[in-house]
Amino acid sequence: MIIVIVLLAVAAIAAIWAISTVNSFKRLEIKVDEALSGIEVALEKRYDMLTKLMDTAKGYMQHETETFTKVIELRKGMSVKDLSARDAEMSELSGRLFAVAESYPELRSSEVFTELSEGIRDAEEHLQAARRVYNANVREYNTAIVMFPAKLLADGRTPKDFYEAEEPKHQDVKISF
Amino acid sequence: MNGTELEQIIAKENKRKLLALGLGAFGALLMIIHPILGIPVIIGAFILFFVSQGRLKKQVGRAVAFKVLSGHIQDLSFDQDSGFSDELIDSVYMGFPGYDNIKCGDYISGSYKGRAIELCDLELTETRVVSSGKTTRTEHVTVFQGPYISIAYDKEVSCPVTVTRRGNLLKRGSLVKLESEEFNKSFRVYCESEHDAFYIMTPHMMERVESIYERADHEIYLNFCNDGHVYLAVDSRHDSFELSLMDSKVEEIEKRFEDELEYLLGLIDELAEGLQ
Repeated sequence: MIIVIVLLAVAAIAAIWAISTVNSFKRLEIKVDEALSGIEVALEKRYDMLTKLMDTAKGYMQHETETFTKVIELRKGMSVKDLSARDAEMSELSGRLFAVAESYPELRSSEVFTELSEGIRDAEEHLQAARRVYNANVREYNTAIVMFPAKLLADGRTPKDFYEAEEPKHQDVKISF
Repeated sequence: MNGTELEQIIAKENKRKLLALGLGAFGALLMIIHPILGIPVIIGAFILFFVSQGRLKKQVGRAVAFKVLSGHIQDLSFDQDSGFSDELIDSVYMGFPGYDNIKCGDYISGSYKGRAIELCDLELTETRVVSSGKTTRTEHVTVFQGPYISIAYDKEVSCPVTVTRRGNLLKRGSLVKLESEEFNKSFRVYCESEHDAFYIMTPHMMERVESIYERADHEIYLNFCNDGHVYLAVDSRHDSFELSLMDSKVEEIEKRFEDELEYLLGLIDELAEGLQ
């Protein structure tokens, strides 16, 4: 009788552990997905700010518009790798835009340019925070699914990709005017 | 008020304090003869002593502190008798140990390196009833004493980000683990929004917080509030711009106040650097 009770108790503990472990995997997956949405939101915000800045700049630097020739495409549900690539393209565009703006003091001294520059800086800070949140959650998730004995319940789950900002591609980039 | 005038005031008040001490000793002698004779004398001595002490602190403290502060802070306002409101102290959750009484003084406000700052000496006490056997007595235990600083900042957060080393006592916000294991071991970050916590606590800010803790050399409490201010409290267990019983020379008081102000401004510099 005692052996049966002990076995039942062990089985109950194992079942509780299994349920909580699987739930924790799912909770972490949700957190990773939420963090990825955070990156999308931050990228969109940065994209919007860059678009506005480009629109403003258009009036001042007409001879330079042909320098930016590739359209950045952002859509919902992009993979981490694609988001990362768009991120790098935006960094490239932002860098180029500010570099070119150096030659246009009138543009740089305009109130709109100053406001939008601050907005872009803030958007980039938010994006950096979103990246770090995502990577912290991915790290937690990846650790959870490989640790023994929890990995026995990982059920084919594979480690998720970290978000790594790609090296900017040195080619011309454009947000269409 | 120049240095000589201040020293004259100090000498005059110190004479009164000595007289009070002598009177107190005389009262103690009278107590041996008869308590009714001694008690009024001792009470009189106490009153004389504390009136002199209060006057000294007010006049000298105000003059010296103002002189020292005005050398570093623009648009200076200094009031020894006021401080942050109790409502503000209560509403900004710093993770202080439990308290039921707030005392603020030596309120300073102005602009330092282009940032609006406010600071005051804060003392938080908790009333505890201690019972030993048949008797019970009430004790007022100081749970925090030190500078409470507010610095304006321009980052917008949806909810406060609290950084403390006494995390287990916090009841507000969720614990956020940052990517630095070392930082997580030393500090706890609480915020309802993980994104806001990471937005404020950049690697650069983490370094600055560690540096503030080392520089402060005491327990620190930090709150990046969603009202546009960062609040920093240091449990230094002393008031920054209070005169002690031993203070007598104006130069020494000035030097001590200057050191104290440099200490506080050093903490503000660290925080401002992290916010860049």
